[in-house]
Amino acid sequence: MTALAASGPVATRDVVRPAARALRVALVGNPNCGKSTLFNALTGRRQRVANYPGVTVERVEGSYVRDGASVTVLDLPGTYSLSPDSPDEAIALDVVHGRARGIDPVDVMVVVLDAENLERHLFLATQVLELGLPAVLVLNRSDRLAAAGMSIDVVELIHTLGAVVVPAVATTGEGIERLRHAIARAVQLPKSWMSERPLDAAGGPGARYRWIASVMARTVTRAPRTGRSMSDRVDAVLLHGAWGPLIFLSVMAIAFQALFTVAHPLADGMQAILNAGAAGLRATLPAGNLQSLLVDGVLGGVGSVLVFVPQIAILFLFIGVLEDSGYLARAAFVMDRYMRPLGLQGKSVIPLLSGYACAVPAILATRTIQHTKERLATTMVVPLISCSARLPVYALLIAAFIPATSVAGFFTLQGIALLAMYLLGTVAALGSAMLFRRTILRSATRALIIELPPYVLPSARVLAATVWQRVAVFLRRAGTVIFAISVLLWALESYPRATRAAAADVQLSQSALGHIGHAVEPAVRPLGLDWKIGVAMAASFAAREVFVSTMATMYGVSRGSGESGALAGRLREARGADGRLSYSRAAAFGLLAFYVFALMCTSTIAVTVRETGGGWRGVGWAAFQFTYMLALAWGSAFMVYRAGLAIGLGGFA
Amino acid sequence: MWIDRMSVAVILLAASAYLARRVVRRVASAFGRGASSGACGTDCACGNDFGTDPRGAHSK
Repeated sequence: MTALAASGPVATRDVVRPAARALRVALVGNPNCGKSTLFNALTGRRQRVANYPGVTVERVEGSYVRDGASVTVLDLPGTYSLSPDSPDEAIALDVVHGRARGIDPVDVMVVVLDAENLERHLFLATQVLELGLPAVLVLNRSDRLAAAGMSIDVVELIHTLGAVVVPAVATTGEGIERLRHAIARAVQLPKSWMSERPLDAAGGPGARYRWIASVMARTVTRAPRTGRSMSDRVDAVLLHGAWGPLIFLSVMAIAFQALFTVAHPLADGMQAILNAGAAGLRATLPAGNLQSLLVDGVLGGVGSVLVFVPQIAILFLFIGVLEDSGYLARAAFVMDRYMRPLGLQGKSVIPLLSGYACAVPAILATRTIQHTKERLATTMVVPLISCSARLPVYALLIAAFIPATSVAGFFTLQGIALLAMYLLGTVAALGSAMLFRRTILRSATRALIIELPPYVLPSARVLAATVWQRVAVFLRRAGTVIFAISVLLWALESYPRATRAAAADVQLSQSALGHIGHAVEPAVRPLGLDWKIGVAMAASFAAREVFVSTMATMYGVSRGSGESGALAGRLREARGADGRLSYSRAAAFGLLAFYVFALMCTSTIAVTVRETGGGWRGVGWAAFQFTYMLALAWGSAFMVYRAGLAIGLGGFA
Repeated sequence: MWIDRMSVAVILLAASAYLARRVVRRVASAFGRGASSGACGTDCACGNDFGTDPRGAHSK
């Protein structure tokens, strides 16, 4: 297939590019056409990809070397046209027009087209060709044409557009070498005739649509459709008013149960490795400060968080399958029906759903929302959605205070409790959004226009890469910030030294950490909690997982051998100085509620400052977000605790 | 005995310095200065390979 010919009226191009500078290429295209997958295929990078529109909201750079020359590739957020609607589209267009601050002008535009939806994608492509920049068009996902009963006459398309068209399949790498060749030659090829005769100028606003329709008639052949497609039939069930939400809830319930059932043996294995490490350190190092720091502080603290790696991996595997199969966009569609009355725009759904992984990219994803007040309201409530950092805290407290009683076969009370935590966060996010949209952020609500991506069987390779990437982020946090905080907490609980013979509990109570704990105790006492939990809560404002590592350090988990549930067991059986059990179920449920609502993430605070305007304005919004969430967290914990006492949960687990 | 105390002191100092630097970078990032590799210092779970974009690919 000839993909590099070009025809049409010829205009010579006078591109002057210093020989030393790398060729700069920008990937543009509609949302969810596969730009980031193509970017990864071209550059070998691992930019995040998923099967829904709006994954990329910032420009990202990568590069490759061809024939000894470096080529820089810019991956841009998707846009439907060259007139921006939202901040993420504006980012793409600033680069296209060469207006982006601190970014060198682009030499070649690579317009990515979804071969199955060529008609809609040609709208942007023709606008880009009119700019007169060297351009290469990529017919991505061309492998799906046969299954869809379509074929495209690429040579005719090349002749009609007067531009290079390369068929490719970004997910498999097919056509990528041809594309690299086309990019290298693009600056020497003549401009498309469209740069001389823009379509709108010739025949008014409708002219572009009419012209594209005529191109489609000449270049695309479709087999006549017989009945409803498989995708339509699946959608009829998944998008059904009653079945849709029910199926969504069932899928979530199964996933959360799997977090407990499937991850348990893996967590035990991880704990065994950590125990062996602790035993090895004890055998190697003489008893003293260093041994105590490494075994009790570092292994006890970091290890208690590492035990949750299997659960984190399963959570991200689940999210990855939802994203890549095309189900996430459907879930957005289903949720939209319930969100509109609350004053949230349909486009808020994707950021909210992204929040289950991490609030930071979710807040960045609000850039797809055009209207400032809707975007602000979404940003303010996104951190209420339970992110992956909360999972270790939920898992620990649920394992400690909720029995694994079986309900309805596969499901246990623990799995259902975990699902309830996620639902509670979601309901709180929607409720708060409604409140904000009816008070401080009032404006009209717009309808959801979302492109439903095709159903795809998720690729095991892509899923494995996604899960590993996110587990690696978790491991990096454990190895850096949680490591450093564990070291400091060990020092705070080890000094000043009580008398040599003092019991561990007396040492802890008289240490610097003990003094801090007793100082914060009045804030947590009304919640039925003691100073130890108070210290762990205070420390977890640095990162939520630190709650687990702090409790592990204080309860000396590394000093005893055992399975992954050792810390949960210690919490359940902890006793105060008076010999009574320390924590009631009512207090534990209140603590769970606190972690659902509290904003304990410096990354989220930093990104809120930036995305709400930066400077003191941004600080103001971030302060508001932090304060209302803290008030909600404390208030809910208090109410849950009191309600628990009232219904007889003041007894102990 | 002194080597035991010295090792602990060095580890403590390194951990404190790391956390202090992290706080400074986080504040600088919030105000759009300094951070060049990620909207937030890159340790979120978003999975984006932000890499080392020298031209502030993360600024709006």
